[in-house]
Amino acid sequence: MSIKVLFFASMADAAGTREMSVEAAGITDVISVFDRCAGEHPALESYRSSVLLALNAEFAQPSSPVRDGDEVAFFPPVSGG
Amino acid sequence: MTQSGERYARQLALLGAEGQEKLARARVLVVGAGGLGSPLLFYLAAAGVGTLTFVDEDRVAESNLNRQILYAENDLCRPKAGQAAERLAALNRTVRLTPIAARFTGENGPALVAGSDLVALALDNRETRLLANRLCVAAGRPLVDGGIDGWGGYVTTVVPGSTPCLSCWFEKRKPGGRAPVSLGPMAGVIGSMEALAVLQMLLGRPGPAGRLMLFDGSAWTLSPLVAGRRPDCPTCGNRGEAASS
Repeated sequence: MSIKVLFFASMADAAGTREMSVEAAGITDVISVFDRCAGEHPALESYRSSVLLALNAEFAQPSSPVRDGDEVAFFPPVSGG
Repeated sequence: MTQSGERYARQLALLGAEGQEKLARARVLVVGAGGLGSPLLFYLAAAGVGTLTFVDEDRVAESNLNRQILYAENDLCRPKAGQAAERLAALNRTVRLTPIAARFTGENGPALVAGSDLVALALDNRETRLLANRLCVAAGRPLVDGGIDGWGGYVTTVVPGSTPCLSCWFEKRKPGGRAPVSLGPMAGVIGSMEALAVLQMLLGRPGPAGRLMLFDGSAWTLSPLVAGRRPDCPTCGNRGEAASS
């Protein structure tokens, strides 16, 4: 059983992929999904405090609870113009 | 109709004379006249928005020219606001243009917001976005915002008292630490989306109100994020109705 993870824009470059899945065991919330991904792809670590988080296409917080089968998406901060 | 039907012939079928008149009566404040502000201002002027006030303290630099299509090589070192006014006047002389070559601040911001029907942000920093957001929420003015960095961009519309505000979306996350990088068409796409959102709001259509529309120019995807207003939002948490909806 697993959680689907999507990476957008520059975070896909940092992860080297647009999509991955992580084992649900040990996952409790959105930030623990990020922890798992950053463990596999250390270039993601620099986004930790700024990444925008989504859970099943809804805006999420780091502490939002995650269940098996959920989809988590990570968007980089975007403040230029 | 106070404006030429021929000029707007291709959009009148969509908007109707009544819609076109709504645009002609509208007063829009655009904060920032750079990468996003260029297409935004061009399209608002071209569509016949009656009054455009725009604020930018910068002068045209060579590094602007890859994306800031309001400006040309012979504008280098000149104040953006004045040069933008020249370009926009050449495009549509019926628009009332008020260029302001200054920084948007807590001092000049309240009067500028109060004097507009809608505010559109075309900024390169979060601090000024959140300041404008606070002023718009306090004044009850709808706000359209956009941002770009690399292959990513977003657009959203804030309707105070009804949708999440920019603080609801962003204040709990830190801004990115890197200097934003941008390819001209990314600014063109997001600035044009902002213009569309502004015109729709002026016409009474919600557009992306209440949704954070995330564009990935690398993967060519547009993803809507939805959220309710944050009950603990320091900016809009106690305003309007059903703050926790």
